[in-house]
Amino acid sequence: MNKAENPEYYAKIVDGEVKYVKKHKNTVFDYLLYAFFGLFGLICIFPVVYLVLLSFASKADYLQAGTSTVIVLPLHFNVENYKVTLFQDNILQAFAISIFVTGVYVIYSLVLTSLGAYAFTKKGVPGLRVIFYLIVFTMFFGGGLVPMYLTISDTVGTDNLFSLIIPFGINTFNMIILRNFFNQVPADIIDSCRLDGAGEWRILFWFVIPLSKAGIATIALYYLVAKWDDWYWPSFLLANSKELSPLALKIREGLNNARGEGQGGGWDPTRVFEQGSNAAMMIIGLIPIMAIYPFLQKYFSQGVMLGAIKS
Amino acid sequence: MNRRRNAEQVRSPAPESVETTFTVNEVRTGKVTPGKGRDLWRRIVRSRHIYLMLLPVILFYIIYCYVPMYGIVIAWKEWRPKYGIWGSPWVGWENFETLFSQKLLPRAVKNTIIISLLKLVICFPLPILFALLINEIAGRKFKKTIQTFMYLPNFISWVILGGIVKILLAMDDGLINNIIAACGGERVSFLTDPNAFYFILILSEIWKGTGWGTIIYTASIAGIDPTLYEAAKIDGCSRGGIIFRITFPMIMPVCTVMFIMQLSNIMNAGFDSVYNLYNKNVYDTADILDTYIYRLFTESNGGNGYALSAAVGFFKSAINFVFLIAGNIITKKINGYSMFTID
Repeated sequence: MNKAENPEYYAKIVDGEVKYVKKHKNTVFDYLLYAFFGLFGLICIFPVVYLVLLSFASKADYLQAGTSTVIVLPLHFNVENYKVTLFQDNILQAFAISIFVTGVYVIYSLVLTSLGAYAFTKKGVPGLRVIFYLIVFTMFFGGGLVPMYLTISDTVGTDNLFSLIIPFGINTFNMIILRNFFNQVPADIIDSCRLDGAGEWRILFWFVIPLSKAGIATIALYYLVAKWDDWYWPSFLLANSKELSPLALKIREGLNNARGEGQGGGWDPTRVFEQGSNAAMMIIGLIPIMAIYPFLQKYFSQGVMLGAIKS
Repeated sequence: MNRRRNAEQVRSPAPESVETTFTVNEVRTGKVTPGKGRDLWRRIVRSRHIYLMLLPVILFYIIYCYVPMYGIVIAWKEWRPKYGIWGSPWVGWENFETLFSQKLLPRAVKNTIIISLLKLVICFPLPILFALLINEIAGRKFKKTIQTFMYLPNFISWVILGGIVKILLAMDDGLINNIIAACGGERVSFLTDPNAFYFILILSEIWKGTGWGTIIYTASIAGIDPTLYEAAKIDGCSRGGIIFRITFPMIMPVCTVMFIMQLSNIMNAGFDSVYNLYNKNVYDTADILDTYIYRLFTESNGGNGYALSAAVGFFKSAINFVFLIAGNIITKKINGYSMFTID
């Protein structure tokens, strides 16, 4: 059969000539791909789903697992596990502290990072290059844990929340990524702002930052996730004031130490079980990330990430 | 575009009063001679707002990056809390000698290198493979949904992932053991088996990192010139041929850069992952340099552990630095540009 009449081919004009190209048809390979990635996607979300199931299950469901049911299913749906983690572990206070620390930190570090990132887009500023190299050097060589701890305790002191914020203002890698975004703001816009009499500060805060929303969102996400998940520094810096523990540290400690038997706080001890309360605690820790995830997803799109590749 | 901007500047020369920094064009057209006497001073004055912006940034780096760098000298001192870094007495290489005479440091070095190499061999190529395969999926909706699912684990912290692993693998009530028991098998103690640790760690890393790792490769696949594909299709190239002769070679430069970055990071086996997954029973295979530093520090209680911990930290940084310089030289040779430049 002539290719032109064959429905499996479609016509295409290349260099003024008509060529026939075979249409895409699902092959065995395609079905294997669908199966493989479908399975992988399920594996990726299963643990989170299982945490949800566990957190709403009761002790009876838990004891059944391995005998009549294979996995723990919330057949006796209840929220007692959440009550334990909220009232006994005092997770709400830790949650509020984490929100405060993360919020202040993201704003503080975004301002500081933007200042640096904008300054380094400039050309012809004497000494700028040397400063840049000195900063890049710190990405690869640092004092390490002990000197950093001693410096922090000498400057902002330990056992206060600002010791978690002030010393971590800039992540050099994030600053370089943001600089690449700022570089993409057309030079013509900046030049015309300048001709209209805008100073560098106004150009940065009124033009460059609003024009780099995707970049700011990306960096904000990195800072936010890093601070929300940070338990490492709080474990030294708040060593003597456990009541200030942020959520990540609280969860880490909660998971590694068995709870004492319920001190009678309005929950039903026959329904509560250790694994379930731990799951409830982890779900509470995941809520903020899950809440912002859909909104940030559009920034994961390819164009945004190109900014990261170039560095 | 450069030419256009040049022309504009000739038409409307920037008046002296307007605050501006100099573009490369201005330098090239001879308006400014960089670095010469009065001009240099003028450029400094004109850039004063930039310096003002940099001031907090520079202060930050001096206080929290360069001052701690000097604090590393406690690795050569005996730590006395009363006297601080400066007042503690010098002891030469004693701290290093103490460390090297124990078995813990060599063990940590060995484990660090084993874990890094496992990650390099298993966790590094997977995202490339996944990106190539996901690029072959024709259904747009399916692709988007799967990507949403795939990126999710990256946002789950190691603390929570550590908890999840326990829930899945615990001996008495773990999900896997429940399944084994339901099938009539014997319960296995995964978490206390030193040999199982590598499997648990690498599987967790794959679960958390593979999906997110594809982003950078997916982005560079999207940047490939589509005419290449069309030409290949017209010439009758098979699907496998397109993957291995076009897509893969085109993303090869990104792969090399990522590979070398990973290689120069060999002494960082990942503190967060190991620390949240290990326990006392598996220290023999799991204790890496970073976890060793952490324990020396937290368990010292004001003793000389501070100095020992700093000594291990210095040892690690020094090796890391050598690897990094080597990595950067190799990247420069292969790609013609180094990993970190200002332009």
